[in-house]
Amino acid sequence: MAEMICRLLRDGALDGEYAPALTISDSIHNPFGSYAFNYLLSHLCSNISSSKSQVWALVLIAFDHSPLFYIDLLKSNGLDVAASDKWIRILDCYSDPLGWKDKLLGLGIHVNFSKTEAIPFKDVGNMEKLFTSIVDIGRGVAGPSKVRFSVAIDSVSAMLRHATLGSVSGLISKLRSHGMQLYSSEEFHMEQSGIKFLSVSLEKLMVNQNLVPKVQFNLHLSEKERVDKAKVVLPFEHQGACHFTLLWLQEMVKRSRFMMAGSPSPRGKLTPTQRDPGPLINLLLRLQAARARSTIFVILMMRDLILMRTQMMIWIFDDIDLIWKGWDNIIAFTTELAVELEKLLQALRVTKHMELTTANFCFLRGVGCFLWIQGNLYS
Amino acid sequence: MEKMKQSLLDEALGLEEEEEISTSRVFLIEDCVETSGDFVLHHLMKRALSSTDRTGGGGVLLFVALAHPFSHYDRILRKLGCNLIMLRDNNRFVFFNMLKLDCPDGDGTHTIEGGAVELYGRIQKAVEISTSNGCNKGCITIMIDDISLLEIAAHGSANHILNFVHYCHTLTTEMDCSLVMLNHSDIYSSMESPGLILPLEYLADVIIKAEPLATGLATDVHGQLTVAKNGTANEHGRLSYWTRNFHFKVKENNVEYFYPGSRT
Repeated sequence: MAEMICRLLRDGALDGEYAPALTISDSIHNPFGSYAFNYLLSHLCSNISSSKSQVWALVLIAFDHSPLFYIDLLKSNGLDVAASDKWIRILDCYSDPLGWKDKLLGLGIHVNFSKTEAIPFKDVGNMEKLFTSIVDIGRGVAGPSKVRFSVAIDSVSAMLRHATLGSVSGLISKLRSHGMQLYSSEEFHMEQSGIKFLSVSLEKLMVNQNLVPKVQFNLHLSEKERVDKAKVVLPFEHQGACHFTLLWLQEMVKRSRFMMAGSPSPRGKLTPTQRDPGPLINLLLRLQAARARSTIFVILMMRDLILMRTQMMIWIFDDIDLIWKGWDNIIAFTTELAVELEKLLQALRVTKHMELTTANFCFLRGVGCFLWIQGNLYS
Repeated sequence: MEKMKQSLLDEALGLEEEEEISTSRVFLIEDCVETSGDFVLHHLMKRALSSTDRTGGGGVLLFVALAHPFSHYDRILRKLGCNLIMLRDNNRFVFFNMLKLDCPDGDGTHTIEGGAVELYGRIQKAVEISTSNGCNKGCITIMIDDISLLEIAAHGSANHILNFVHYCHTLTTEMDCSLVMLNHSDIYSSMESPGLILPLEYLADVIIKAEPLATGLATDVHGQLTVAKNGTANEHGRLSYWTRNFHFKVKENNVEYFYPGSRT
């Protein structure tokens, strides 16, 4: 997985696509996120310095470690630090994040701190200013406007201490105006020489999730609502130790003949992306007629040792009142969907027999609802 | 025998064979009402003051005291073989008496941040004086006794305390100082997400927890110490991690450390 991420970061974005974004999160019981960050950063720097990467430059925003730490890190990885100013710039939010040292300088208290080439930033609470600095520095080091540069932030937690969640997510959103994230996991162990990742197959565990709905529906729930929400069993909680892959619908459109993309735009219509829309899209259009304003359609397939189990989840993010008004349509939709799904799978010879075991609606009050279908595919 | 037992804590702290305090720079001592961690702080005070650099110069200790007056530390360190008055006269022990520290917010002239900046400024100035007096960078230790009282002085503003600690942390990287902090972890035990203790634990290279025995009170054992060392690179670039757990008994003039079950 670590190698895959290194490659993703190296390869960058396709035309018209967003650049890959990576989030590393850790906890106090396993506080090795910074080591994973340093590992990936080193590889990215190595790729940039040897011109193997799509991006030509890197802007590193240092909150948790001093710029000297990163310079030493680059040195220890055999990178040419003397020439590093051509492809890396460090925005130093560590040494004097609030301008205290400047204030003290005015009072005559001064210490000869180690000098680095890092660019000092002394107002970390101002996300607008930080964004402007990042862009200016990136353009400065990357040169022509068409040239891409990467941004690495060594601690969002530190940013959140100085600024509100909204302004921090606003900054990240502006840096990469969309938030689709790839979540993967890989085992690692710490050795004396540093972090070592254990290579596992890609299929072992991979989850794609879109963070956008979380941002959009960041609602203030009451205690009861929070409890109710916690009781909703999410699809990935069914899996146990099984291997599963959650595929994006857009990916499914590319790979299969029968899936259609439902545009998640507000009040947007489902736009067929293939010539033959097929029965599923008709059903989705019927759902659209049931006044669901936006639909995100996700298929989850999982496999355990005995049988193929298919789980389908249709999210209907909408106003709850509108959902209730369309209730009859949704019931009809469920029934027809089950029949059509079986037909489709048989037509595609994916399996010999399919048995739908459950088809339930789960409601999240104030948010909308999702349809949850589970079935067994006997091969 | 006594020396060997003493070295159990030093060994766990990574101080066993080193003259200087450690390659680890940030030490966090966490204790609770039942089991005070003061003796660990006193042990580190002694280590910091008795450490010598490669040129033979002595260590300098900058002590931010919010819990006790100077006489308290002087009396205890005297038992451990350190004369704080003499060291203070020699500019090797700088005592910041912060017993009456209060950073009220609201009147415009004295703010919480202003108080934190002022305290940091005093520490930074002391570092400057120590380095100008010829003290090598690696031999300066900053100690805070204790963080929870600092939080009280800041009227519960954890963010200002974390800013202050961050600035002290910049001294560890830029001036090669060490930072030792004592905090009372049980203060935060009823809080779901303590805003102060977790960031401090992330920051620390070594966390020393003083806890009572899980089995209850005992006459021969006063508690247990858990020393967790995060990955800090030594001078050869190698990382080290470990967690050690052992018991202790505080005596009149020293502390006895031993592994569970090793005493008869």
